[in-house]
Amino acid sequence: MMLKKENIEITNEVLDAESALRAIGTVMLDAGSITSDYIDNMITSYRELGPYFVIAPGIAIAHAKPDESVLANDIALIVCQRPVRFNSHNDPVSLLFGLCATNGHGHMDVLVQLSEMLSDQHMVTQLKQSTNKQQLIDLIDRYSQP
Amino acid sequence: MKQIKAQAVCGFGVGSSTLLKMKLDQAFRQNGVPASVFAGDVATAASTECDVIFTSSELAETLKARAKVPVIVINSFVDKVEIEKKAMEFVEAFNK
Repeated sequence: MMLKKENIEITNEVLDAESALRAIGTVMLDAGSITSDYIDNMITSYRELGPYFVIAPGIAIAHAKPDESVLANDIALIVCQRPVRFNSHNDPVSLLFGLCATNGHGHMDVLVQLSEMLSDQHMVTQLKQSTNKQQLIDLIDRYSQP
Repeated sequence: MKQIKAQAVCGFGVGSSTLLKMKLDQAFRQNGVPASVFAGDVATAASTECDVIFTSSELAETLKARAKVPVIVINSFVDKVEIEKKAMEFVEAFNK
């Protein structure tokens, strides 16, 4: 599965941009894939470069630079039932992905699957409307290659 | 047709730019356009040799000020239709 079950969450909390970045960072931190520095780097990057990582309507792929704060390639998802504003033309965001890579060439296979999944409008709508974690896991499982 | 060297740019050249690169590869391939696409980061993109830069609106302003090649804004990095349309418009201008 392209996303580990433990890395998938759903929340109905009201989040602002920076608290949402902290939330997705915490998932990758708990997975042991990053140190807390990576979360700070994501927030600094957001402040300096803006919300460029909100790559499509309602979809963000938060990430920072590959450096020593990344311990393993990983990817995480929080479905925000109360969509988050990042001050992007693609606001508000309900699918918040987090990505960390040890170098620029890591986990290409996962990104290929992610790109295919997010290009499928029907799938994106289903993900956004999911109401529980198991539903999300089943949806994503269908898109993942063994 | 001339070979096109295209750069997909995000903040660090690892996340969103890779997704955009994959869509651009598809668009060029499906239209039979000889092109190589690579992912780049906003800090070095303008000084990296290429024929065209594709990026998000947030990063485009910085890049337009620095780059010597056309900078094309993509609003959705997963929208095949938008990416194909903008890529092919560039190809047409490039081959004139």
